[in-house]
Amino acid sequence: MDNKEKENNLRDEFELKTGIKRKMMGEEKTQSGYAVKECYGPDDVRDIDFNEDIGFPGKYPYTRGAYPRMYREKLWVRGAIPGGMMFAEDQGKDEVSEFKKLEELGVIEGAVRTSGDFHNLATIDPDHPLVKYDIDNCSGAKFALWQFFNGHYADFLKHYMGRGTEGFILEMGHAVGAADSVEWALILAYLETVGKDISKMRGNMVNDPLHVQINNCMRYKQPMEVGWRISTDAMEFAARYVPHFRPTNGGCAYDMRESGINTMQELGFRFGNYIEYCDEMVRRGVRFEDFGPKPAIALSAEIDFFETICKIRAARKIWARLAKNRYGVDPNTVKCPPCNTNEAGNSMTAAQPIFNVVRITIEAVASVLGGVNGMELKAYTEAISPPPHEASVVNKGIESIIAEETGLPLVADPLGGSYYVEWLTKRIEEDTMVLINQILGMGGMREAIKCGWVQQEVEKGALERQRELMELRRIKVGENAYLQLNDTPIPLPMLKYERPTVAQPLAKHQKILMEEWRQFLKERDIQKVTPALKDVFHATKNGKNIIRPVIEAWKAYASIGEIMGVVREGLGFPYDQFEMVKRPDYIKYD
Amino acid sequence: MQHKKVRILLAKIGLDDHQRSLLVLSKGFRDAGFEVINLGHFQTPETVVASAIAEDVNAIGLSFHTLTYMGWVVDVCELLEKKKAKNIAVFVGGTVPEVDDKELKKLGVKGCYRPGALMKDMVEEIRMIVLGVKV
Repeated sequence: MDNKEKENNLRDEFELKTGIKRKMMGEEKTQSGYAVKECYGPDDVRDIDFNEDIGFPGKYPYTRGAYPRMYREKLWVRGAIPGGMMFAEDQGKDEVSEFKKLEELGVIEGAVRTSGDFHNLATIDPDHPLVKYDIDNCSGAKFALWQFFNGHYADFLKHYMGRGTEGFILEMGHAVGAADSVEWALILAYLETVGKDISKMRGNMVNDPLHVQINNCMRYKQPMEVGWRISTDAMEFAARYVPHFRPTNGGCAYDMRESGINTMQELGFRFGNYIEYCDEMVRRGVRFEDFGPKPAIALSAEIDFFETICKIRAARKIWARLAKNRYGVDPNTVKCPPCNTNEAGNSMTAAQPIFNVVRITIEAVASVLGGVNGMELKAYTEAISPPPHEASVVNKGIESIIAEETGLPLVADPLGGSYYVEWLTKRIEEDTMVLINQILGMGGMREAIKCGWVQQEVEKGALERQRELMELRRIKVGENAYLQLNDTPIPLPMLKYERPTVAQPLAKHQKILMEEWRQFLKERDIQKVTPALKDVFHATKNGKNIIRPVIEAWKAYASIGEIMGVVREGLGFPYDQFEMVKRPDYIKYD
Repeated sequence: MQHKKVRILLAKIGLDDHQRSLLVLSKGFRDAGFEVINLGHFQTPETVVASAIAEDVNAIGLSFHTLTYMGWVVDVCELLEKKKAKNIAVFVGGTVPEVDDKELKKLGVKGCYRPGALMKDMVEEIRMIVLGVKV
């Protein structure tokens, strides 16, 4: 039975005869499966206590917002990944001016996210056999400190990644733990090389080595122990030497959600990871007060409007409960971490991108009603390609209209007190705490990952999400229902880029990057590289914090694959996690 | 007359690590009665073609979530030709823009599938192309 027949089966005779739509299709449940009532009232919130469960913004339990005046004091920070530059028609010449255009537009307001080229995420070098056509296809391929001073990316890297001590907030958004930390060390190496004081660096990084072990993406065969080691060393280094930098988001809930899990799992696995990092820092002698409030709670803004709002509210509550009950801190004496959202990529469709503009808006409104401190809006091209400049303009328009025309920012948590919102927030909180306690009962998130339980849950979720779509239990307009709307395509500006073709499978910018890689190898002094890498190896093997030796290795012009290769070997793993490349002869450990 | 089954090798080539597609395709194709060998991700054209020949498949399904897929598909098709295995039908899916369909067909790719493609339609088409039968 095809979708049209299925759709007709869900409509009754009256609807089919008259065309008048009587009911929603799909299941009458929230996205995560709550079979909600038709209406909520006082009886549904009898178990909710105002002081213990709701309160006021800026105070325990922080349900209603991280700080007292919320948006009257400060609007949400707008995050953006300067995408599309890698494919812009004047690629190779214009990244900085495109970046500045986005700054003038206000798309980038003193904050920017990086994303990783694939080889960065995998922490291997550009000449690895798996990289061949996948080089420089995302948001800036980095391989060495040399690039900050040579080659076509030099100005871009300095402008984009080199202003962290000047108040410009950089979020390292690779998400893959090892990739974030090693690249952060690269930025510290650059800042020290140009005489900056790294203790003044602001910004944050996702740096969550655990979530990639359970997603169905982004692992790149990096052993958990390797990601864990460099990431937690980075967290400790930040706590001691770079105090204004948030060295992890405590759990990349967004990526995990995109893998197919539900809201409670998104929060449960996120806080499961967060607890692992807090416990490790405490074990290393870092106070919870100096680490715990730093990781921003970074969630997915999904298309289920009320579930998203209530999830954000519940997330702050859960943090406050953990701070008080597990770490013995009075949450009123520390700052509640900011809560940010990244709009759900999987909610966007390839057909009729204009409908994605609606989805982007709905998810942004839900984020604001949830009281986020930062958000990243997806582009309408999310299911098709990186965004053109026009998509950034659309998103800036959406966000500005919400901020200036709707009145939404005037009152903090305006849905507070709604019977349904308080009921759903409480249910999400309780069900998430059950899951967190289940994970702790298994020995914590690392143990739960090692035994494969978390991965099984993710896989079940992914298959269930697909079944829901196929069985029309979940509707995606233009994708599995209302397909007639696609018969009138509404074109929107798409990204113009040099397309790989059969005749030219490598684009111009990719060839430039590979040329620069070869030039870098020729120009560097291998006599400086070898001892620096030896130091990294021994620090790794002997259990020392490896961030300082890694910074020095970057300064000696070691490459990303070499640095992480010796870290892998220092922990007893192969130099190349794909086992396609051997350690070069000039890297010696004796 | 007994029909052979579709025996399809699924893989992701290069560094693209989005695995959800292979999971869903494996299940869907198995449910439809195909024999499925899921090679997984981080494959090279060489490992895909070598495994396809060794496993005696009659179809290869490549899933991509990047815009840099073309070179990999070219390499696979050229290698199949070199190894005299052009009888193995190649199918491609994922973020493959429609504008590339002509070039892919010229390479010998038998079908391209995009987000929103129905499993039922893919199964029917692949079965028809590989076995020459409509079931």
